[in-house]
Amino acid sequence: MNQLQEQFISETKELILQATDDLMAVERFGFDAERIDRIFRAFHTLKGSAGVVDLPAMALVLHAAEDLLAAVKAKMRPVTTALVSEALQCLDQVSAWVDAFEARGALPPQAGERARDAALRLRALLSDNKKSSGTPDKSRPDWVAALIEQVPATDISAGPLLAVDYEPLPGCFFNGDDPLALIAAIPELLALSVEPRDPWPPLPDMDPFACNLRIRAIAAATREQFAGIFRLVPDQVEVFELAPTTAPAAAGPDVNGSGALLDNIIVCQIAMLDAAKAADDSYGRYGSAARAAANALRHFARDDLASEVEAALEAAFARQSASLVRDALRNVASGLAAPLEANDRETASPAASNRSLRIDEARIDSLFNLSGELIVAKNSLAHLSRLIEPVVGEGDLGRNIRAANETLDSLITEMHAAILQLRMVPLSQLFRSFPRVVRDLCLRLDKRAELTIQGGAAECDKKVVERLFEPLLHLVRNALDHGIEAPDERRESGKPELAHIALEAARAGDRLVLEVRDDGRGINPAAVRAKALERGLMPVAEIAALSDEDATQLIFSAGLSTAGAVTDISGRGVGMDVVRNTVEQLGGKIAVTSRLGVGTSVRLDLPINVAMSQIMVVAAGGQLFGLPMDLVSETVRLTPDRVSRIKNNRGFVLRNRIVPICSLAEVLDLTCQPADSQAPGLVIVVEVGGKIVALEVDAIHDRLDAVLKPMQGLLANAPAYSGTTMSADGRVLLVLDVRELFS
Amino acid sequence: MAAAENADRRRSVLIVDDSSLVRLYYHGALEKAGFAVEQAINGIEATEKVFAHNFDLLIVDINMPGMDGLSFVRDMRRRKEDIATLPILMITTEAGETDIVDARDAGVNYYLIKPVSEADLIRHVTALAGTPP
Repeated sequence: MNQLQEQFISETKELILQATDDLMAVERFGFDAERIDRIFRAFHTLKGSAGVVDLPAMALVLHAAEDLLAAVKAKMRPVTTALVSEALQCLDQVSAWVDAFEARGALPPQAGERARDAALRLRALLSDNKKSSGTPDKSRPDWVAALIEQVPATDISAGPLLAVDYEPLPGCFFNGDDPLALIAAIPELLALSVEPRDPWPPLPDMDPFACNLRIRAIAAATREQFAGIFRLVPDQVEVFELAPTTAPAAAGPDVNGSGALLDNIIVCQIAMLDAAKAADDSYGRYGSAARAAANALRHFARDDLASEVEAALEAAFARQSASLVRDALRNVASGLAAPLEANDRETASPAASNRSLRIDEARIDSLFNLSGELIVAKNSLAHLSRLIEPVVGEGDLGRNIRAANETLDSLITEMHAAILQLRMVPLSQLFRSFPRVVRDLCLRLDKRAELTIQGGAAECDKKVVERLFEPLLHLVRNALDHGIEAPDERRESGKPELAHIALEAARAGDRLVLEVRDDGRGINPAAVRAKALERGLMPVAEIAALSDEDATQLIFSAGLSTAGAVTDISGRGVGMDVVRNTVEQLGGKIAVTSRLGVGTSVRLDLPINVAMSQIMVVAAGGQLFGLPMDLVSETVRLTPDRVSRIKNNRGFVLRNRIVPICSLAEVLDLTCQPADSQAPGLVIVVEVGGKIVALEVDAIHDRLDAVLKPMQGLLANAPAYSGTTMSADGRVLLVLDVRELFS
Repeated sequence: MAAAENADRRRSVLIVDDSSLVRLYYHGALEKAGFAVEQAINGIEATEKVFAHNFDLLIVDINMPGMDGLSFVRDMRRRKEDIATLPILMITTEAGETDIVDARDAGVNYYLIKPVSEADLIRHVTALAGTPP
């Protein structure tokens, strides 16, 4: 992937997001010239860059969409849901292709076919309208000019002239089409070009039975003749009239046109004057140069400079001196350079307002790792400074060392925070695609809902934001699919037809609270209980003992919410256990509250950054291990009489619940002396995936704030450990991945 | 001054090309864009038309039977005031360095290489022939 392609990918993604936002705003709030223009320009730029990186299929679709939007811009075509849907679908397709291009450096093999279909759909929207507004003529595409060059310069009768673009479907041979015979049937064929529609694939991938041709021809035939020949494949053929049309449209001044053409024209005039050899054509030479230059200057709305040139021409006529015109043109050329630059700056300024620097994620990560190691180094200095105090006594030296350590400590902490800040992205990035999700789902489910988003400015670590998309998508989908009632049902129960889904984020200290709330029918705890019973999730007595609130939480258990199991229960559907797993992997918690008939709210409580973790240091089997604090619910010192044996397993009762006890040393296969069953055991109660387990350890040491280094090299595949860090005395500490340990 | 005289009418263009298809193609495109268009098949016919009409721009091919494009341009530049100073856009398949130098020497104001798309044609012609006020 070269730099150009990388630039293309990032720019395209940004443009797609922006155009999506604008399209939906236009659909919602109606025609807005500024927005439409922005959408149009986004598609235009997308098309252009697709051409630059040589993705013709992508350019084809975007070109069709651009034409459609041009019609919207010119108010020849109203903004309808159908139109917005087509445009959005086009963006989806492009976005999928960009992903494919990023991953494999090429579009999928069927891209050409897809592009054709999409372009046809878009063009259909356009031509429908054209019929109604009574302008059947399509502007002639660029290839017509190239094909015309093939026609020998013989005089042809001034009859009708048509250009045809015929792209047989890949499967046309199986439909009984014979493209060659069709082309051969065209009367008065003047020019023909046959080219591959998509670049030929490598030989092993080539399907000799698929037609990959684009056939273009110019012929002196009538539309009726064409219609007859191509009657069986009208969808694959486009016909353009070449005869002169009489629909004059005044060419206005090209104020927005690029200044490059103007520059070129002026420079050419100067060159032409410099090329003068004889004196007898001098008059025509500088006269035409001045006229051409003045025309161009006026066309580009530089009347001031045009007058300057015209004045020079008058003077040149009077004095018969070509050099006056030449000097004037030179002046103009140098004058053009400066104001044009100013123009460029003006157009660049909107981008500058959101000034940002793109940095490769890997660089930030390496900076982040370095700063993590710096913290570890600093921790050991703190340790040393405590050790040295009794040695040097209460003197200046001890105080200075302590002071220096404190300064270093605060600076490094600050620096670490600043680096963490680099990884922070606003949640608005995450929320951006949700209006689209809700819109599409509403159309599909025939429901009406409005999505409100709050707290998009809250920031969170990139890793967290990236992983949150899927769970949020699940929650929003479920809310719409199962929570929100159909409009008539809502009306009957006295609710407004337009349902409301809220997506809200708020920062609470170093936690992020996300809430997905709907005003739908709510979750019926009785139905959840019944389902849990049916699935044998828990013993009957336990289910019966659950409060309504606790019963509702059961929607997150794996047994209850797998594929389709709950769709008939009022409330949630598929994959809530997946949602919970993801949230827990991020070190977060999830909870649902619901009132029957009023609505449901799911709250996610997440750490803002995943990088810094609180570690509890424990000893087991003669070694030290780190245990992530966020999993530890409590530590309990057990007297032997509280431990009960069930066959080979041990357990104890904690607040009316039986908690199994596992020896950490045993789980890790560490050789150690058989546990002294008489000594009081020390257990750490951890909560993993909804289960509670007590880990027996030898001792609990201090807690520490640590940056986890991922396991590297040979150890990278050791599943029981999530990473390493360094303890205060400089020893490497393995941090346990408790979830893996018990999975 | 020429521009001021022409201010009250549509811009008018003469296409000089031996290919009737090319003429037809340019003619349609230019007329659609609001230009008055005349055609000539070579330099001889073009010279006649130039004296009979008031053009704002000549579009000239190089290779034409009868009188070729470059001879026509050289001849134009030595005519009387209004005709000698007509802007000339050369559109041709000759893409060599020497062809462009020859055209410049002859007094061509701008040079395009075929094929020229409709959009490009209109863009260049409107710039060189000027905008009606």
